[in-house]
Amino acid sequence: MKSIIIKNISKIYVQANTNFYALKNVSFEIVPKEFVVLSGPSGSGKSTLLNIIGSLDSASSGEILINGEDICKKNSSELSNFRLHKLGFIFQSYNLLPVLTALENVALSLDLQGLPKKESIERAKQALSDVGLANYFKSKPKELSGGQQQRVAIARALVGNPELILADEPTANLDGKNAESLIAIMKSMKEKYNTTIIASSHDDRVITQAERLIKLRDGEIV
Amino acid sequence: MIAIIFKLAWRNVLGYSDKNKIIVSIIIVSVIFIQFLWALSEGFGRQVKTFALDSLVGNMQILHENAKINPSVANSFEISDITLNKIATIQGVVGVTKRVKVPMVLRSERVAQNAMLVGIDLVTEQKLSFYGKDYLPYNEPITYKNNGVVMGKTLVDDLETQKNFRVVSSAEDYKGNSIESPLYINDIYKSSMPNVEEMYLFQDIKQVQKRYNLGNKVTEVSIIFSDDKYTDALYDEINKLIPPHTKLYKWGDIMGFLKNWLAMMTINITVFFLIVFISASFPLANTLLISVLERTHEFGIINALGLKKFYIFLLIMFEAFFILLISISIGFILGAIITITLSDIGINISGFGAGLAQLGLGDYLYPHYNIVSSIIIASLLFIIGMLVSLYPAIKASLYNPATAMSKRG
Repeated sequence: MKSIIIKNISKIYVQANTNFYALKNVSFEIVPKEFVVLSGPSGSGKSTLLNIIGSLDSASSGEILINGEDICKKNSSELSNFRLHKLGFIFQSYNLLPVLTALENVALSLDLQGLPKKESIERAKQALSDVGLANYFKSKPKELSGGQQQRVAIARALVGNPELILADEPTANLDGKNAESLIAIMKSMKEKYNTTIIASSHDDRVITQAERLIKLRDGEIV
Repeated sequence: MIAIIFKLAWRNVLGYSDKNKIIVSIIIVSVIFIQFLWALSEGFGRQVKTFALDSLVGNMQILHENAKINPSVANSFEISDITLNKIATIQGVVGVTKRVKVPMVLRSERVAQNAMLVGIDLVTEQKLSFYGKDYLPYNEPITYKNNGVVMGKTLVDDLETQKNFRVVSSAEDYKGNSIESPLYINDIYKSSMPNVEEMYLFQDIKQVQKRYNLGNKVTEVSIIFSDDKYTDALYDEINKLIPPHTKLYKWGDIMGFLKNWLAMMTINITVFFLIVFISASFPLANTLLISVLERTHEFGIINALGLKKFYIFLLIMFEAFFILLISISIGFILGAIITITLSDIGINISGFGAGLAQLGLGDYLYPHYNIVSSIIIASLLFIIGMLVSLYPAIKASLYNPATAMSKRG
């Protein structure tokens, strides 16, 4: 990935005929392989910004240039392809598919990319082993602890070797030990796969690991 | 990609088995219910029609041209055995018989009652009416000798008489003379059709012709086909063979009320099933919609992972396909077992009283299982199920991933 340029991104919600700015003219640039943390209090716009960068939500105005392409101008199908091949997501609430095993959850994005079944299974097994879950391939999400589920989510985010990982409050639901373990895994994976990471968090353990910190308040960079 | 979606849909069906059990149960009950109701209505129609054909009408009748205005023996006619044989050998014709029907008043020691004496050909009648099929083959022709008649049980009871007793009959002969003669109740028949049992008494046609000075004349010729479809198809062919001053009638012309009633029933049943199908589709659509909306979050996740909206739509349609296939198949089999079992033992409807008996239904209603009808019903439900699944599938596929993931079931 060459660069990520966020230009004058605004997100407006209309509530009772009143415009509410979730994000207001946010602009910044991220260089490749950087570990950036968006911090700020609840309601500051961190998750909204992360969703817009990840094309999970649309901006009301502005541009997001990734490798020179404005993702705000892509259609739904192109955005799905973009997410499938370029991005990995780690969510606060893990967001694993409950009917699939840990291995199937990780292999799913590779299956969607069209990789041969055997290869996707081998890579998913390797990714789960990398995050310390070699003994949990056949476990369903509900059979795993919160920390284990989040590690499955990390394996799923990394298994496709994406250029950019977006992590939304990745440690919010984890206890101290699991949170530290998760941060360590994310950092080692970043080194291993040369991945750019943008995380939103108000957890000091995450913030202190950031190579760059972007603070948001009321939808604006401060 | 289709294979992945197919597999994921199947896993979702199995993975959400608790929720899907409810949907599957609703559909199974609907399929059984509709299939059974359909069989019941088909059985009802068939029984009424069988009654029409078996109650001395047949698929077609040759009557004197004035018989419908005045059904007395004065309006009788001659028909040759050659003509009867010609009709009998037409493909589709199962049997032809001649009869003499004499309207009369019967008097016992205590009661007088209107009745109809039917003079029958003891050989040819056997293939035709309820009497010919259920009574004649099991009883000797001797029963009819010496002015002997076989009388319906209800008529015997109404006349407050009994077997081996005598009643006096009053009727007009061919020339209009009043004839009074004793008739001996040599035997009693029972019928599943109470109104028939209340009206008819039977005797050998030769005795009746002789008593009422008819010579070889008859008042009707009844024709039965292997299938009612021949009623329309063979009309012209048979019409060419009938004697002068006679007219060929289809059963519907003779039993006009029944024909109209059956037509009205067909319309009513069609409308009823239309309403049932539409009514069944609403809870199905609602249950599927709730099931899908509860999982909006999940569809948001797979959309976020990179699955295109079209495939999310397809995923839900595949899930609906599996659910419908499983539930309709189970419902189809269970419905067939229930319907076939009940079509053998019948459903006791004697509690509905004489109203249904007038239509010839007797005490039992027998559902008629027809695999073609059942396949049509199952296919229609499948199509309706897939159609109502379109709405939740489209709805789920239109969410943007962030909105979808913000929703929790």
